[in-house]
Amino acid sequence: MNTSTSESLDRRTLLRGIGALGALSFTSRRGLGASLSLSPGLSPTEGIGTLVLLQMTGGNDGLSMVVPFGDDAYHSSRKTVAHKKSDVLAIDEYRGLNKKLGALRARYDAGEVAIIEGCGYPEPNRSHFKSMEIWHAGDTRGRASGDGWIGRMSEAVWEQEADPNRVIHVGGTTPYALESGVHPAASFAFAEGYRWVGTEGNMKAYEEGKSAPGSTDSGSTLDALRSAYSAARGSSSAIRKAALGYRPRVAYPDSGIGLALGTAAALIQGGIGSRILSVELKGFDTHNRQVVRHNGLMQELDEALSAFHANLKGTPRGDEVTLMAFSEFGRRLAENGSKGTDHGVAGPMFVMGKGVRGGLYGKHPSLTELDKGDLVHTTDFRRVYGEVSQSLFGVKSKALFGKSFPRLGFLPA
Amino acid sequence: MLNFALPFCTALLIGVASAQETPNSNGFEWNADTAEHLINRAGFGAQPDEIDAAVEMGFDAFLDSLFLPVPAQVPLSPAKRRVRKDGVMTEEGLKVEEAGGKKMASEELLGAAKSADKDQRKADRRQLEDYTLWWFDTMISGQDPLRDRMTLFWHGLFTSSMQDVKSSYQMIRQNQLLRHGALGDYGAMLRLVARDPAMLEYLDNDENKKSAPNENFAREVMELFTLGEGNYTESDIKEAARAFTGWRSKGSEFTFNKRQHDGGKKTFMGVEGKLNGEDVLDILLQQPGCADYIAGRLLTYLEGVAPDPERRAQYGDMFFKADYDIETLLRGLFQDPAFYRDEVVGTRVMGPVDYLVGSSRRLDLLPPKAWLLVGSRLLGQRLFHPPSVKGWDGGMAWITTASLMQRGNLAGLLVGQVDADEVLSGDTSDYEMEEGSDMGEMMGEPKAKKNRATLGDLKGLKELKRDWHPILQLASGTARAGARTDSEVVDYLTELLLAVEVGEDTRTWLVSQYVQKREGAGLEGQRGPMRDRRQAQDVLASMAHLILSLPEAQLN
Repeated sequence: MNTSTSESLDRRTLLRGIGALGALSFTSRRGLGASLSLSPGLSPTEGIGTLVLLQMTGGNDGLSMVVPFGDDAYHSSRKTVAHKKSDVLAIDEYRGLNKKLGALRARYDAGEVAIIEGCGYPEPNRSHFKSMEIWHAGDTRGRASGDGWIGRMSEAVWEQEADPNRVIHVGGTTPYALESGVHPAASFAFAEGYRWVGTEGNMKAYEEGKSAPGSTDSGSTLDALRSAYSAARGSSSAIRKAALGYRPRVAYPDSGIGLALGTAAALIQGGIGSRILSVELKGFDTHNRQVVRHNGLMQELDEALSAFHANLKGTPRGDEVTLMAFSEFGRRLAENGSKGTDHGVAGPMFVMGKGVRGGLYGKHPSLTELDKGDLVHTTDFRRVYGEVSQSLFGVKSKALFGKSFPRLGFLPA
Repeated sequence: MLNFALPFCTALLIGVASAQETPNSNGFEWNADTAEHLINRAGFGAQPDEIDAAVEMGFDAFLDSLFLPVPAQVPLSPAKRRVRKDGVMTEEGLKVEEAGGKKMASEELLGAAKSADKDQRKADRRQLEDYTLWWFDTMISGQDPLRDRMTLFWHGLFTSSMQDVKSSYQMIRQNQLLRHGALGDYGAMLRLVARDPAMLEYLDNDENKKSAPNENFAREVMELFTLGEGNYTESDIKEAARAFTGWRSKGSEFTFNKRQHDGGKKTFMGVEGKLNGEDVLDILLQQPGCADYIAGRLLTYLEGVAPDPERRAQYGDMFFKADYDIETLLRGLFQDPAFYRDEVVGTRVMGPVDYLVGSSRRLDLLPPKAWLLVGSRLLGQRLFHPPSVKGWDGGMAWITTASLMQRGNLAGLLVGQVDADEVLSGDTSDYEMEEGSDMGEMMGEPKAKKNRATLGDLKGLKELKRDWHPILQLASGTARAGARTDSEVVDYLTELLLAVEVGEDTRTWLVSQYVQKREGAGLEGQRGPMRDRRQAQDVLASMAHLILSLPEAQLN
């Protein structure tokens, strides 16, 4: 495993950061993370980069996001759900972005968005749940393979040194990708309620509360609960202070994804050592009325991304943020009879950030050479994961996936 | 396996010492531990006197009692369908329709449509909330525990969500279908579910047409309702989708639209013919794999761990041979010594409904409505709103750092130790987006409306502190249990509130907390708690809050 570089850098950074600890305006239970990012002027190679995972749940119709308007097969297969050339933000003669993605397009034009076309994996599974598991595990066995891919990466980078402020999901149920026996993720939907409340005496008691193994221990489940218990207590105060004490310079849209990205930005700017943030946009399972529904989602996404970018740009921490968007599968080329599309296979991913080398990567799947009516993937999604992981955290794809995936080149090595 | 609390708890919990020593004919001891386990899993949160009674009854009689028909007392006003006359909401905003053939000025029409729509949404939501509260009430009352438990299971298996169905009438009808069939014939229930208007709407079969089938229902019926992922081919899905074309609902009733049905030849799971939806369901039920899958889901739910392949096959076989009789499967499981093994007892992460209902039952409280509605939602199990067609994931997926703290906060509210203002301070963001309600309007809403599981309810919760004075029986319970020393008091509390035994270190810490609180309140040891009832109650409630916030309190 090639993690030594990033590790030793982290430790060096840490040593340098210790001096800053005294200047902390609040106390993080584990000062580690806070001290790291308080050191001014760190470059990305010194490991302050932040990864934001944006999950588009339900099977994003890639053909409505990166529209192959120049392909006859696209129009002939989709009588009611195709987007016309005039309705698309053209990138070239073949493809263009959904018309609602104006802000994303602007970032693309600024060279800060990489679109990786045709992402998927061998022997595709069209079940939402199994396929999402595979994307979360970074392994075609899904959950059976162990921790989530972010969990495994965290272990490779930070070994046993857990910090509950480091990996955070802003939303409901924690995605399986963040699952880790060593690095439990903090997870919350709104910072205001992110605390345990009791009488004065009990507040202190709760902080010190013990839950230790006994004679009739129920083993791993109770261990996992205990680790969540201590992560909760370890992150509550820092997260609340970072999220509630921060006033963004732009207004975020009043949507779920807008609020989540706004919170993510606050945590990043709060300097509490958050390195991986996860957010989710649901509703992509467009079996019917796809155009209206999908356009709505694109607009929601675009407005949120626009605010997120405006909020972070030009700030030291904001410039180190890389956002990666994915979905469990794309949708079938041919539409169904309800002005929608059924579950399919390959779809685009996009990666956005100041450090990104913008452009098109991978290869658009053929719309005529199909497998059971579905697009055949041209890029393994783990190739994208691997590049992100290596560039931001110094962990190579082989260490994560047991196999080397060549770089695509959208991030510096 | 009973702990050190036994000496003083015996009188309270067991009563009949002889009963607990004898292994029953099934090969396991029927005692306070096994009885508590069965009550926790077949129902919710075992109360001490229930455990006592169950042990006294003997296993066989207790098991039979779980299946006794209890007259359904569904206090429902005739459910109303949601009809919108003036306008319909779409993703694009409000679509204006012509009223009475005459086109009104658009502003005027828009206003009328908006307000009609708002009123109807409100009434409709309230009806579902009333029904949800009725269900919570029966769970807490423990009148028909196994039916409640199994209805909850089927609700998470044959899922539909109000968010898509948008009709309380259909959601309630579906729940009654599940409740009615909960312990009966799974095959019959599957056939009814496939024709259920809420389901047809939820999985888009309403729009499944001959010319271009919609595969949503066909896929999920196999992946989640019958066979499980990986046990069918993509071609089976396409063929089944054709067979279900034309199955739709009209005016909240099932109807078969022959013109939209594809009557042609299909090949489904090796069977060839002009198959229709009924045929597809029959073929699915003929697969032993279907029985395996459902048995596996049920065992995972009730045991808290997925069965190994042999155990799954054993129960699948039992289920298949019993023609999918659910009662046979449940009886088989509850009689199985393996159901009482260490790997199962006290190791299941309780879902939010279990945690809320269980805590209420253990404390013998009927909590405020808002606490149940908002609480279950805050913790991620809003009834009638499963997150996806897969239902709720269960297990550790229930637990996030946030939900763990919120569980403790809800416990604090329940025992009157926490002010709702503190818990919720300013949170709201997540709440009003979902069903297209107007945020601003909600903000200005008067506090009195407690029936809404939205921002209005959060405000209702804030009034908990004022309106909610739980009548806790902890001081008298301590006395009845004969708990005299500080550690006996703590043992009484952990025994009452937790389904698992706490470790020595945790116990020592709890005892030290108790001593500190007791002394802080100026209460003497030994018989101290009896001197000043109110203060003693407060100290015990404060302990209960700490205990219910422990990792151990998430398990049963």
